[in-house]
Amino acid sequence: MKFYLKMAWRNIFRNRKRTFLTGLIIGIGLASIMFTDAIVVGMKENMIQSVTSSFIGDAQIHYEGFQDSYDAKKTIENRKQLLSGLQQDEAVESITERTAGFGTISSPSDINSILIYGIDTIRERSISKIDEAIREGSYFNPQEDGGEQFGGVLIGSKLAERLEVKVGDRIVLSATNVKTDDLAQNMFRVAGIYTMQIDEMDTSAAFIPISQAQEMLGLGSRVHEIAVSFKDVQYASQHSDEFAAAYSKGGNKAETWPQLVPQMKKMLDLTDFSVGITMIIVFAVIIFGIINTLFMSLYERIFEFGVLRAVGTRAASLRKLIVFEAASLALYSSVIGVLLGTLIIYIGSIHGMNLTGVEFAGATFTEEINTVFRLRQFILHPLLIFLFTVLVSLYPARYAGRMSITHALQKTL
Amino acid sequence: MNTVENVIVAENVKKDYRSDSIVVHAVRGIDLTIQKGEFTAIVGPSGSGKTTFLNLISGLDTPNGGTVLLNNKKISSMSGNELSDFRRDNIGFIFQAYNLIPVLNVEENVEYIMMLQGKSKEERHARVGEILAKMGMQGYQERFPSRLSGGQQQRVAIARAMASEPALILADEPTANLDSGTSTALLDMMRDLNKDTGMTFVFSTHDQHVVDKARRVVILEDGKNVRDEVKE
Repeated sequence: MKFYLKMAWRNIFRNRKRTFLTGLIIGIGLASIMFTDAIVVGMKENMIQSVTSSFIGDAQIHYEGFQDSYDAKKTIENRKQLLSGLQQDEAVESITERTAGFGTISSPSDINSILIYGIDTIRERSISKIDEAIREGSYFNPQEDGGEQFGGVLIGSKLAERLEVKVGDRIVLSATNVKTDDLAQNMFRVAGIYTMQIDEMDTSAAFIPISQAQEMLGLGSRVHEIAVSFKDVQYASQHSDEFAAAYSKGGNKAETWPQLVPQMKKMLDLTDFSVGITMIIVFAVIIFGIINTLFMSLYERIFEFGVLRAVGTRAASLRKLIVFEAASLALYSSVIGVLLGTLIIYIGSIHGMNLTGVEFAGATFTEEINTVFRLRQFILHPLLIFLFTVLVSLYPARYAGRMSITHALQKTL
Repeated sequence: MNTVENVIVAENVKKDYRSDSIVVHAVRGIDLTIQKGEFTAIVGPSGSGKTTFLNLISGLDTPNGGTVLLNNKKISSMSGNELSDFRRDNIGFIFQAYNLIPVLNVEENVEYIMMLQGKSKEERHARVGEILAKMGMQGYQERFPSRLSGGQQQRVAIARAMASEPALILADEPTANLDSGTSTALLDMMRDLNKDTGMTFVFSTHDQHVVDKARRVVILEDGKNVRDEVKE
């Protein structure tokens, strides 16, 4: 075995220029696969981040059926127990509570049907980016009124346009009080106007401090939604069932973003599929390159193989030699590929693609897309190249093992 | 009483090649017995069937008719692996020039067959040293074939063929690519080895130098042995 490995390694360097060029081609292919993986990870994380960090969070808990109707009576059960569990959960980074209900917003110019969110003005900042999305005015100032600017409301820029209001103007929010079933109306001043670049949020939502919302809707201390963010961005997609099992109790339903935004999940799956197809094509190109190189090298050495067989080398040993040569070539190419791949992924991680503001699959990129290093890029992809190379080398190896010795001995260059 | 040991017994050996509808009768029924320790040249013009006959008696090719016994074993009935192992243990091959493995140095080329036989490194090393000394190639162990002359390469090829002490050494036109001085020196060396070790040498040639050195000359024409001369 060791002898054949040594022979194989020396054989691939018999034609250094050809081996280098083949190694470079395979290496470029591997580097492009690694880079594609890294940019797709970056893009997916960016898309998930755009969706989850703007408002949704990585996961949410509601009372079962609340999201279908936004029925204000469907508040979360065992709220304190849930909060305590989430606070002790090691995967959870932060949580916030919200109320949400349909209502209307009216200005002297117009009236619109919207979703009125009551938010914990301090905790909300750790989950969503409403504060960062303020373009005019300011977010609820935590320093004032114990963190809640009573009488202030945040509205989207498109809604402000429709209502023809600006910061400081008065608007009226109306919603049904669940305790009395009467219509509750409160006057607010526009404290801030935000642009989240999510159409739904910019046209049909308004945010007020949660205590005011609870009072207006007659909820007492009850809430409709608990939004959660995890320490690891992958946790929501990888541990969805675990999270649901832990917190879907007493009529509550816990869901992570793939369930909350299924269209995004489908889009990401489609992206994975397209990338998979691209990778298969690149793999195929690489593999045909390898077969070509192996056959070229084989045809050049037919006399030599004839001699090896004549002096007593078994066909299986000759096959082993060819497979070892392919493996050596794959190893050499993988080193080139990993070095090239690391370099371009590193460059991509510093100088990202600026697609800020571009909408894709319902999500708007809010940050530069950078490549993201993942261990599989350095282990799985080179390993796949190695295994595929060894696998395809079985074909020329079989050919060499079956060739007629006398025919091979007639071939001299 | 001395018993004569036959190394090769070929009886009515035939070989035809077919190309489309044309049948070429390369060997048309050769009968030949070669005894242990012989130094035999198979001679004949191009196309007379020399190489084909060597291929048949060495098990590199299968006859269409007749039988070949090598060391009293019928080689035509052996399986692929059996044949490989049989060749490895019983036949040493010397081809025309350029038949060393270019990525192996002199020592590795010579020890290759012994390595296939599973001999220990120490045993191989000792045998390589011994045989290279006999061939006047000591000090060349680390050299690769590309850094050897044609004559040196053939000496290493002889060393490789002899390393495992086979019963028979077959050489197909061993001097074809060598100048006459080198050819003569090489043949003298092979003849001395034949005398010293008692190994059987059979070679095909149309080189008069080789024919002159042979103790027995078998002449082939059109795939048949037409004359068999034993020199004193």
